[in-house]
Amino acid sequence: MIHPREEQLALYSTGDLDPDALERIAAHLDECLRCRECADQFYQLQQVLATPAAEPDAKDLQNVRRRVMENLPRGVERRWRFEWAIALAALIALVIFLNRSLHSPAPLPVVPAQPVAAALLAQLPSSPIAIKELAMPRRASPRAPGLGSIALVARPDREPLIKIATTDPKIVILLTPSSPNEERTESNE
Amino acid sequence: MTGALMLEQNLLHHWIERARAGDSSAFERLMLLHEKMVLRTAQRLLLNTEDAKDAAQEVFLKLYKNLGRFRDDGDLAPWLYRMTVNVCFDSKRKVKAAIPIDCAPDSHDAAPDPEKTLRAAEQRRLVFSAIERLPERERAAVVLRDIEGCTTAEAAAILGSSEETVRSQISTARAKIRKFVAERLSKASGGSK
Ligand SMILES: [Zn+2]
Repeated sequence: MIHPREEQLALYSTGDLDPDALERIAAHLDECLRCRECADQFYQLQQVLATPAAEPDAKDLQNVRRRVMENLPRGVERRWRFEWAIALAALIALVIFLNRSLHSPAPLPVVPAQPVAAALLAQLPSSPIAIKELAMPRRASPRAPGLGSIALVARPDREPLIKIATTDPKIVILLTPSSPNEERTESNE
Repeated sequence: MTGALMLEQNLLHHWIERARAGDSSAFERLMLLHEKMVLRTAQRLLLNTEDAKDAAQEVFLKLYKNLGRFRDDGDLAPWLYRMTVNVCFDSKRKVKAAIPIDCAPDSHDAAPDPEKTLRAAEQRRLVFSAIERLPERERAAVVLRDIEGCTTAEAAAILGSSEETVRSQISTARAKIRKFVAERLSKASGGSK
């Protein structure tokens, strides 16, 4: 009599064999007490394994949950909020800029130190090209939702420049207030 | 699909979406749904509750980072099983010592016959100490297939191996467990006679 291997009887207990093998082993078990006892032990083993064990301790589960919640990387969420805040601020600045350039075309005669940039911005003609240029970096870099900072660059022997930094460090816009057609986008690459 | 399962799937989908958008309370909901499964499996694989807790923590932090990858909510449980096995078998987290973990069955299922209960408890204890002695991959196959109730195909997908390999691992493992339990039970009954 050829007995099935023990590994086959182990798989027989959960039907993990092809139909032919299942049938062959079933027929053998009808005749062989030794293999039947072995197969019965595999059935019992399956019953033990399938009986649900006590679930993990509630305190342990709570402890794991607390540790995970404390260690969640929140940076991603915050960074996006921050970038959207910048984009919103840039939008407001743009609206103010538009408003000023449309309604106060006359240059201010005397400007105190602080509002120089604003005054220079006000002197800019209301050219739609300038506005397009401001919006461009956003399309150029999908990861840069807005403008970074606006600064006045004063040089002793040359004309002052308005430097507009975007959230993309590669894109900086330089504007010369007196020559409105010379806006250029400088690449730092 | 039953109504309850539909509802669960919809909720799961909803929480995954919310968690992905950065809602940490939605992520906590996802954890509540799966924490028992992850910790239980880690305990079976590592045989040590403290290490299992560390592993479960790592699994959920990895889940948070990988929320974007779930196109289908059905992918979540297999992914968690796979990650639990990977984290537990990470070379840095080798089984230190087999500190016995609670492998007693749910107390609600206790049989009324005390002698029968005692025998069943002893058999169960022996089965789990045999599982502790199995090599990693065989233990993982038995934990997923026989304890967690995955199909052979599911276990193979989780373990990243073929069904044939898993079938071979579970048959070898079951044979080892049967032998271990039978030897000790026959020794015990022989000694008491
Ligand atoms: Zn036989």
